[in-house]
Amino acid sequence: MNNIRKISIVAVLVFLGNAVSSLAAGPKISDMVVGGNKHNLSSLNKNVLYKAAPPQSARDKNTEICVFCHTPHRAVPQTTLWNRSNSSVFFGHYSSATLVIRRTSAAQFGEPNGTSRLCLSCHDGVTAGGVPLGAILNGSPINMGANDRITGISLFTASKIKSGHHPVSFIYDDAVLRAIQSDVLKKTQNYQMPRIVKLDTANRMQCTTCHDPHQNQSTEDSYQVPPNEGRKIAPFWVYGANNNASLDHDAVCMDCHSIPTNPFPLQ
Amino acid sequence: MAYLISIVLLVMSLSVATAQAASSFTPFHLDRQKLPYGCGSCHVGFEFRSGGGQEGCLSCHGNPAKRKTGLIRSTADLVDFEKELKKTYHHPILESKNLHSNKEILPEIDHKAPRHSDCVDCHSPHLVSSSNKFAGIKGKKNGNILTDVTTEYQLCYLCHSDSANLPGRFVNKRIEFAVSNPSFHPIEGEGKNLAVVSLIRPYKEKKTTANDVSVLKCGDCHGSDDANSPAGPHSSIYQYILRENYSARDNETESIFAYSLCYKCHNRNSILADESFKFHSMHIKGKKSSMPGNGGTSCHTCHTSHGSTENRYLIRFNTDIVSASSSGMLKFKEKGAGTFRGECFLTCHGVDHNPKSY
Repeated sequence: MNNIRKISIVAVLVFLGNAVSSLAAGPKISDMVVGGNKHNLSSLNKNVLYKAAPPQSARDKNTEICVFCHTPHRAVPQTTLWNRSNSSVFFGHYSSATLVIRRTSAAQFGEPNGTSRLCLSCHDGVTAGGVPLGAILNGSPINMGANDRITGISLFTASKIKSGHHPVSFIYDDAVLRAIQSDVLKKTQNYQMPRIVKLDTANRMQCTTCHDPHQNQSTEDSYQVPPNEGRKIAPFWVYGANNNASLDHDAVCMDCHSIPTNPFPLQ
Repeated sequence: MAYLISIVLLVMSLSVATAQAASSFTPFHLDRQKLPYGCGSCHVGFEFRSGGGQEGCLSCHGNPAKRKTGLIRSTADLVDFEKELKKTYHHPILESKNLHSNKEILPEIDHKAPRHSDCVDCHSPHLVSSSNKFAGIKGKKNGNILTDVTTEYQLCYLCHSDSANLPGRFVNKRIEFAVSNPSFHPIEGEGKNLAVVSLIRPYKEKKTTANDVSVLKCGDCHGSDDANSPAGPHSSIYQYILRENYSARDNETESIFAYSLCYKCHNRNSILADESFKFHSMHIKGKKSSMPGNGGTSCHTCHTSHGSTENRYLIRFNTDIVSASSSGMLKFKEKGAGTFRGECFLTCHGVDHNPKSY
């Protein structure tokens, strides 16, 4: 018992060390002093592109920070007091022929669902393309000013879901893992069940598996060179222990894609 | 419960520390000391359906003027492959744009599939390392299973052996190098000829000491002509992407340069002194002053460089130059193995051997 206690103390110290090093995490959604993160659409937020216009009357909700996604009352029954209409877009799913889950678990891999669907209620290319971000479920639409729709790299159209982005909303369980590991082309790539990131309650990989919508746990370093210059390396990443955005990003990737660093030697 | 959580956290912390450690075996593209943006270096804005394509590779490994240098910490290891691949003789990488498919299984079974060679046909971008250029490459189709590629020649065979789309002018290299042949250059295994008198050390017929070399790699002959270029068979100024010059022409004046590829392993003095074949130097150097090159002919006129399914000593007559004898025969006949004696039935340079014994 004593030993376990000692190990626990060491572990806690290590954890605290990590916590200290993660002080360089990105801004909290609620931080109004230096500016909240990009998911804070309040008109009071600083340094963000997508946000509400200044309120015109005392009744305007433009200064609130949660209302764009959440409501305490009359929420839709999806999850987390959700305050947005579901995206009506049919996206399809990731279409690469090399994806093993397409062959082994086709029934478990279809339209983006669960929390991914919630993310897509803003990032779907329809809400973002034609419906203002301020079109919340409860209450009057919020005036978002000039940048009221997502454009560019943050937009997930059906085409991007199919080929330009990591697949989402697929079941990743032991059966799927075994199928991947027994695939002749994939077996050298050392797939594993995640240890850092979390699948949803139905064992599905969702946007939230890798991204924390409320706070980027990593630094908000940017690419310094074209074509991604200025773009955040790891937007809303769930992991920040390395105190380096690209290392944190890779740690999340490698959590499932455990690519061996000692590949077999060739004569 | 708190203990359990603590232990899990400890394990997590350790695993993170391990993930950051890089060794000399760390695949280049997984080494965060080399790629400051990690996975994002290639995968931001990546088109998964078509893969990164050769443009993806060449954005770092191509023309330095077009290179995104900020993506990598040091450009010291980088070579301009775009320039390399524009040498006269090259694997057709630049010409093969968009022909590679990540579904393809080699050797190719569709005779209509377009011949191509893309970077990823030989290099697996995640696992390639400076000590193992071919790590992680897809294996060979063998029935319904893929067998790992563990030697260089197996990798070459993926395209140059049993492919259904092998052009007619190409010979199946697996058949040429088969160790069941009467003779072959020792690629798949040690050779059969126990008396190759011209061999230069460390090359030996059989390996008896640690330093002996008795088995070759395709890359020993095929590769860049330039020591400052990547060693692989990307390109060369010499035909067939050879590392040294090898003249296959008739009426060639013998010189170190003309057959410098052969002379890497086979002692020129031994060959020109006829140590193995009584008339070797006469054939190579010629003696007809009326002919260009004095009537000398290439090693290739009598020898195949890969393997012969018919004769020992890699003898296979080049029928562009050699024709049947007056009795209609074109063949080599050995008189006792290893005796350096035999006879030829053939016509060459207007001379009839019917047979000529030596």
